[in-house]
Amino acid sequence: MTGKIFRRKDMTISILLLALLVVVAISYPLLALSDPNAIDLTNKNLAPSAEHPLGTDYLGRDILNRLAAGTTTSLSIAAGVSAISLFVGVLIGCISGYYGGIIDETLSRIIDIFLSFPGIVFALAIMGFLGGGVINLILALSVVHWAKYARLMRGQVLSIKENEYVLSAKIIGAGDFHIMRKHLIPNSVATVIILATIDIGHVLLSIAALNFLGIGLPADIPEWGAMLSAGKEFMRTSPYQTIFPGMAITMVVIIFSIIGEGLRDIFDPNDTGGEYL
Amino acid sequence: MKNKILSVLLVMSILAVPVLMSGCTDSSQTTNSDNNPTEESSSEQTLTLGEMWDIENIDPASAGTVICEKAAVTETLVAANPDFSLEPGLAITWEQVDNLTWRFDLRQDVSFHDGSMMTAEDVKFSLERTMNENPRVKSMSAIDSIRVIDDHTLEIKTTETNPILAGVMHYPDTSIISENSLDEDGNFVKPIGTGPYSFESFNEQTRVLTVVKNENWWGGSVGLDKMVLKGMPDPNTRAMAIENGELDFTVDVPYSETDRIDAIEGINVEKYSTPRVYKMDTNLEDEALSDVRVRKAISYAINRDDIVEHVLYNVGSPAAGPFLPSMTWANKDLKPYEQDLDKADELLSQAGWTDTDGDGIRDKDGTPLELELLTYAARPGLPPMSETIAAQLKDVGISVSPKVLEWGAISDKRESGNWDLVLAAYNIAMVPDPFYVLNNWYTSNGPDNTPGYSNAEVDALVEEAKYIRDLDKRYEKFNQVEEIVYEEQPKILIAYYGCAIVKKDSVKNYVFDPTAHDYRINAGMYIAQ
Repeated sequence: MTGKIFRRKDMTISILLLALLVVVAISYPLLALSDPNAIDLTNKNLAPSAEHPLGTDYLGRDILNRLAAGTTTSLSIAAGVSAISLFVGVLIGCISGYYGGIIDETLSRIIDIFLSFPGIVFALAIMGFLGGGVINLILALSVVHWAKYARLMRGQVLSIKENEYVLSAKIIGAGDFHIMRKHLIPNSVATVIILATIDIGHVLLSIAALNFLGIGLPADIPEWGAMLSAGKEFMRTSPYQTIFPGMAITMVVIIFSIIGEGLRDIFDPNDTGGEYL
Repeated sequence: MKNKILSVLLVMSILAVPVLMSGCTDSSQTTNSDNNPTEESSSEQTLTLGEMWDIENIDPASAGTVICEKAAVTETLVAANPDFSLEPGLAITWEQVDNLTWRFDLRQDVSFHDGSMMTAEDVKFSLERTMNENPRVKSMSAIDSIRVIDDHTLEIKTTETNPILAGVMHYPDTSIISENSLDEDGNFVKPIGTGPYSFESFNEQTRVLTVVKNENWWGGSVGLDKMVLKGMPDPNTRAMAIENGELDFTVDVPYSETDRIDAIEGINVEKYSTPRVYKMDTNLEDEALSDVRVRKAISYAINRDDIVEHVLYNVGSPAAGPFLPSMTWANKDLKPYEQDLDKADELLSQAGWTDTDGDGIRDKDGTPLELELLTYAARPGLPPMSETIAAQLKDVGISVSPKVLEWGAISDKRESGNWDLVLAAYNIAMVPDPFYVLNNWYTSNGPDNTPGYSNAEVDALVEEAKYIRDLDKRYEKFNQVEEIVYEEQPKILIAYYGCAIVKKDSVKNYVFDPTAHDYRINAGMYIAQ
């Protein structure tokens, strides 16, 4: 498995970059280098230099410092959203697929309802109702994202539950919970995790989009989408404050897409999982 | 593989042809229509103006700022000097005959754009119509009845003593129109006013307003032949439009771009203060903010000069009292609070707020000094200003978290009492008189007294000054009010609002009117050939 991963150059690079980002995200708050909100008005709108490798923003705050601080915000929110939607989605999808009948009908219709809303608009509505803040942002995006995992999980369970080992387990008297835990979830979760990996990129984009629209986090929490939005007014006089957050968002989305795609190929029994670049 | 790519490209280019062609025709059509005015400009002077709001309405009773101030189609009874003292407009003289009665004498040489002479009947008609259409004017003016004495004399009765009635008659929504502006059923059709420009057309789809020269203006000669006003609500759009020559005159490009645009050959930027102030309301129900020492410490912690220079790019100036120092009634002794971190530290320590746990945030009885600062994004200076104030207050150990919300959400929070600080930009000369602002902001029952400030001395002074007709004595009382609220800081004033006028060098003789609500187009403005 690991061999398969590292035979692919794109995945190797992506995983290394992701590891770097995770290290930054975890260590940044611990290191507490300097306050990312500290302003220095006389040094505003500067181009990259030795002192400020990525320049400064419209209040003279170091862009690199804020991007690093934003890594913590963005990645922890994305991880929270993915974890919650994965958990809820897998659970509901599994119950729906396993029991069938009226339970399946009911849950499937609920899933349909959630899937029928356009994601970002739905999240906007929820944020409007709940108000801003980290926890509310995680909740809003989880509500938007769980349904597709449930739909996929249900499909997986439907095909697996007819397998002979599941039937045998039933015959020897195993309980529903045991069957789900030992047979259904382990055998279907790989597909869902691949989806989740690709989806983290989408979640990051949604966070950035909501903050770009000004409905997300308070202004004092550094976040890439909010930086992009605040910088757009200065695009023609000092473009760096939009270019770098934009590049950061693009890079992370690409990283998760490559890892997700790679995982899918590796899990695919018909694929040798070889060189892909 | 290569063939596949080639065929895809081929299909795409075939599909693109009609799109490109339709694009061509479209753009050529628009350029044609855009070029029309410039082609004629050899004989005719046309100015294209980029207005800061969408033009949705051309009725001066509700859209007076556009029709009266920006399009110069209508005029008011009373005009104002740059120091906000009143001067004759369509009325030559006025006086308060007794507590409830005012008399206005009108100019006799004024004709409407349709040729008819302006009489007291027209003024009565216009004012009564505005009272019906516009509740704000109705409450400010407190007019009970209007009586025509002769063709050029009016008597106005008010429901209560209203010394600011003459000032209200400077408000653009009270501008005078002819009865012919309405059709037979009484529906508004177009503004027929008395101003230097007369209404020509308004396209409701494109929202473009066109006005032309009034050859018979009572005030003398008019500079331009034609003026085309286009609503462009986005500052960046206005900046690009004047750079590529689509506009001759606009206002408020992004503040950060004023220097860059000023440096462009053929375009100049002028910065002025306007009667509006950035102010931060404090919630006096909050335990920390109810202490005047904390409010003064906040005021001392803010660096107003830095905010004006780096956040507003000098479009504005540091604020002391609620009135611009250039206003005739302003208390000129007040100076903006200078940043003084030692004094802020001293005041906070006196008030019992010290950093006992060493986390950089002051606390008292175990409660950290944490405040939430709400603001909105409709005025571009506000969000970066809120972030700057938060950073400056952190330096004295006050943790402030700035939040940008919709105005509606802020109002909801204020009504529920669930707020600490609100940063907003408020008009300070709706009416050219200090009563309106001081009464609304600082008296116990003032409608804009969001902090919940109550000071018996202020209430008494405002009530007393309200009825004083002698301007010097009147302003002296109001100056005392200004001094008290300057010491108590229930509203922390940050900076006076600015306006950046951006125009081509060929636009000559423009005179900025600080009494206008955004800007005013003066009759003498012309384009040099």
